[in-house]
Formats: sequence, C-alpha cells, structure tokens
Amino acid sequence: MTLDWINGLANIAQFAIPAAILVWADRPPAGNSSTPPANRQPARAPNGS
Amino acid sequence: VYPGHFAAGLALKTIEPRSPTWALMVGVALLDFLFGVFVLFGLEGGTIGHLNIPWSHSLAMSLLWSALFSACFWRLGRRVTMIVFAAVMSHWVLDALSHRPDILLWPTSGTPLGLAQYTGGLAGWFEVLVCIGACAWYVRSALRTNAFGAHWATACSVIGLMYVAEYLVVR
Repeated sequence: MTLDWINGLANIAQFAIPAAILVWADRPPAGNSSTPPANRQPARAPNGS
Repeated sequence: VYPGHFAAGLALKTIEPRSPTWALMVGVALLDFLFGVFVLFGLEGGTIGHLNIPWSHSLAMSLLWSALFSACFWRLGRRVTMIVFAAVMSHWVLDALSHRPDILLWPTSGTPLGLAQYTGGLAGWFEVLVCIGACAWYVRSALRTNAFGAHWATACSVIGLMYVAEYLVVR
C-alpha cells in the first residue's frame, strides 16, 4: 500500500484520537483536582513546639 | 509499536506526575505526527515494512525534535523537561527495537537500524511486554499517589484496543 496524503492524515488521526482519550482518563481523581505546579516548593513544617 | 508508544507515555507520567499528560501523549507520538506531515509534503513515504522516514525518525532528527519539543516545557522545571524529552525519544528507542531496518542514524546515513530482522516474531511479544509492564506500573502508581489516573481502567483498555487494532491491521 503506497502512502499518499490521505494516509498521512489517517496516520495523524490514529494517534490523535487515543491520545485525547488517554489525556482524559489520566485526570486526577475527584477530590484531588490538580497536581502541584511543577515549580512549587514543598511546604516546610514549622520548627519547634 | 502503536500502543507501546502510549504505554511508555503512561509509564513516564509515573516518574514525574507534574508532567502535562497531553505533552507526554503528543511527545510519544510526535515522530509519527511529523511522519504524517512529511508524507503530506512528499518528503517521506514508503510501504508498511519498508518505510522511508529519514526526517522524522532518524536518531539525529529524533534528538532534535525531542530537544525542540521539550524546550517548550522548560518553565515547568528541569525534571518535567527531561521527562518530555524522554517521551519523544522513547518513540525512537521502541521503533529501533521493533522495526525492520528503516531507522537511520541521520537523514543521509546509509546504515538503517531495526532489530526486527533479527528478532522476527519476538517483536510482537516485546510490544505485549511493554504494554503490560507499562500499564501495570501506571496503575500501581495511580492507586498509590492518587495524583493522576482517575480512569486508569479506561486508559489501559485504550492501550489494549490499540493493540488489537494494530494486530488486525498490520499482522
């Protein structure tokens, strides 16, 4: 089967559709609406007490 | 290695959960997206098993595409940038391990790589192992961290369906 431009578009679509579903499925569970921003430093526990 | 690429993306998500999932999914498929674009412009083509993919899939160009794409995520930190870089390069690694010899070192090099000529039918089992291993790792991390993978069963099912589709179409 020679690849022409229609097959090129099909090649793009066959990756775009499952990728979109996987992005949806990978969402954080309810109650954990977001993961921490990449640059946020973890909070430090107060000293003493 | 159609589903294997996405399974690798899910596995990479577990290493750095702050990595944008869409970036990982686009990353693992980027070389094939580029292949589709280059086919549209007549730069690449071929037939299944005998692909002409010097600009999208050669090692040198894959490193370039990985660097360019991962650089877009530099503001998210070095670790995320490296994971996105690894996502794009994982495509080259998996293809080099499972393709017939059509992966060049650079666009004009004359020595194609691709271990499928030596491994034969083992390439199919290799992909099964990649998919199962990556999905198992992903589910384990999703359940442990509760930071991603709310619908991990759907994600794994999509990987499985992709494998069946690939099996029916290619083999």
